[in-house]
Amino acid sequence: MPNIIIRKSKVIVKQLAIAFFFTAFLVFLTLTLGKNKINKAINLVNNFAIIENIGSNQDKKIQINKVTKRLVSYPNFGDIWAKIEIPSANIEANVYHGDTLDLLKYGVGHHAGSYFPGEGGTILIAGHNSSRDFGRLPQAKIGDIIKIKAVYGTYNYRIDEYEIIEAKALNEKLEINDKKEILMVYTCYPVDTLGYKSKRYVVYASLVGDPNEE
Amino acid sequence: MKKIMFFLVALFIGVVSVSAMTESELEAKLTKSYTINGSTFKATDSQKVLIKRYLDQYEVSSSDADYISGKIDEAKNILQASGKGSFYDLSRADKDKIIALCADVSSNTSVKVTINKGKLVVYVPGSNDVFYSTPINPVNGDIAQTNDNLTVAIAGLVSVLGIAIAVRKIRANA
Repeated sequence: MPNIIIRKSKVIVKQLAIAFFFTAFLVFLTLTLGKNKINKAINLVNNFAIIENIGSNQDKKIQINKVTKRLVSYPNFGDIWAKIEIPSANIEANVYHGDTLDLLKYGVGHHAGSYFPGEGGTILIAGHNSSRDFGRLPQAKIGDIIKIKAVYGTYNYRIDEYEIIEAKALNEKLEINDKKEILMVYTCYPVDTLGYKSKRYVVYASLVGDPNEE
Repeated sequence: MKKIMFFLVALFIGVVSVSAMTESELEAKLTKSYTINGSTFKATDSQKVLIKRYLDQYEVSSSDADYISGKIDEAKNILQASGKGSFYDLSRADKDKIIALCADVSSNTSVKVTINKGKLVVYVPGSNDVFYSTPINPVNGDIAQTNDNLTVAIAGLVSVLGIAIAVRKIRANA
């Protein structure tokens, strides 16, 4: 009797092993051969979602007071208030107010304690290093444009520099103040890898031109 | 008799006007640094932005500001009396006392803040909209901050409350 059980168990383990390797092989093939197509599909879905969600704050009449350089009313925490575009890196993503892990599941996050475009201060935006979010951030080069299409206007920023820093150094490096309008966009580094990464890829960009306010 | 009444009324008005705290005074109190039992607690730059944004957007009455200020002092006193320099090191009872201060503020002022299910949430006054939220890692149902500096949180700035409590080391999530 025990022999039968052992024999059956061996068969099951063998079948499971074959199934596992077969699945792993399929995943490997799909990721290797179809990476571009998968990215395109993800972007397509993202774009659709962006169109669906961008208006969630519009009934709140978020506007900027040009005199005080402060928003008249602010988005609620967790709301989408903008879309970020980095054309040279083929990045397009919804920007949520807040950058908790809960929110980063859905898109990129604007650090709630940083400033908004047009307020003349540090704007901090974080996103995961997946291809849906900022996985292609390193493709953006110095001089390239980052667009923030906020519900109250469109703001363009030119990339001044980028650097790779230790995650622990973020708080010291990314100082938040209202001396100058600087956009800081960052993600985990290396990009397109899984698990916790101890480094961050940070892009610094300055406001250029007049915003197209709505 | 009239003179006495007038004097009493004047005295009352005087006392009220002296003790009433303005929003800007409250902001100053929330953003200053405190040294307690050898540890210095202060709000981070981003917490200061949030505190200012909250106070600019929503009215906090003088009486609410006074109440909050009193709770901040209570929190400081609890920490001071414990002899500890970190929220982590407080006894369960002292931690509960400090957490209860949040509930007091929420119940008795227009500043609504909850600590529940590992999250600290500050609400927009008079609505269910969220002004600010941050995860607080629960350890045995306790609040554990991931950044020593932020012990502030609880300690000092029981304040706009959640805002200052704010907490986790920012920007580590990408």
